[in-house]
Amino acid sequence: MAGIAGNLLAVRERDEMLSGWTWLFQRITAFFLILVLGVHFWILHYQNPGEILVYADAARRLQTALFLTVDSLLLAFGLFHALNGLHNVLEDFNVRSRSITFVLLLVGVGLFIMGIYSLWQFV
Amino acid sequence: MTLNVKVFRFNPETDKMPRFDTFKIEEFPNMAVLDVVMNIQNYHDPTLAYRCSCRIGMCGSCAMYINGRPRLACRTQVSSLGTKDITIMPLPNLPIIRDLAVDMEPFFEKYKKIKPYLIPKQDLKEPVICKPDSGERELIDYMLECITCGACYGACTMVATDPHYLGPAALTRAYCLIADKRDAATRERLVIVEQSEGVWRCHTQFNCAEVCPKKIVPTQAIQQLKKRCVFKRLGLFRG
Repeated sequence: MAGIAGNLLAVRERDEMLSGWTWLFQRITAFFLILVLGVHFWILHYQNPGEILVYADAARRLQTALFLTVDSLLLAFGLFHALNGLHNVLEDFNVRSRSITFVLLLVGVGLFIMGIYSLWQFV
Repeated sequence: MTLNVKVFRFNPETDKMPRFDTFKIEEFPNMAVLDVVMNIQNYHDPTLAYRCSCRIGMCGSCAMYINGRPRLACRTQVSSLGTKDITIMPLPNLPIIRDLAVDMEPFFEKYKKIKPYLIPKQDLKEPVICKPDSGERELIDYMLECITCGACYGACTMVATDPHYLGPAALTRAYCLIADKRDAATRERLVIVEQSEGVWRCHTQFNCAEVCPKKIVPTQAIQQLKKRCVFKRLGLFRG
């Protein structure tokens, strides 16, 4: 019993350690999301206000290193921020399980790979 | 002027469902809500259960849910409510003992978890003086005014959804001790508050600050604790 209790305590301690870091990264990603979204909006909507958005232009832009970097960061930060936010809401309602954390992690990694794959098509 | 007072009634031992009883009470000058409750018990229904003690806002025992928000019944003037219709309910987020009296046990159980007493450093020589203008005491001076009435606990939506969350009062007390240079158990307390049911559950909604009868802002204390927890993990905390 002591062994099981010890293992549970170790798992719990690891989870407790995680909550502080995720709180910090939630703030960091929030800051960068505002920054990167600002850049995104500026380039798309305000740099050339008269320009009509067409697919060919979007495809051309995505061949540049700047846009690829900006969109990749937007994807990574957005996914972390959204999924960690969802995890927080579940924790607020006392829904806590390692499998939920694992599923959200899996969804995040899966969507990130999908997003990067989609961006890569324009390179 | 006559007050229309609706009072929550429930005895968990005998009643299946709670109900509201309505009373007509004559208002007098400078009448507090606690006077209204006492009037009901003295002249209308002696079975009404509620808790009070000092009647001057010092003990914190008469916190109730008055017209939609937690307040101290003794410090809430009827005239300040701006209406003659008063609804009095027990403090939310706590088990009901009977009528307006709630069981404060969960509140104080969490309070005890953070070890709410000073554990002095061994090398200190009495009297230890923190000068008021030295900044050493940071924000704690006004936070020491807490009377543990539980109004913040009753207003906290995070406590409502997560019964394990330590709550604003316990975390404010923890901050008062952690920010105190004389305290020897700073790290021990930080380990307690940095659990997932600790500071991370606070979403800075300021409901606690809105209702505190002593004008304390527990959110401020909790944010200070979050900062210290992160510093501790980065190895930058000296406490």
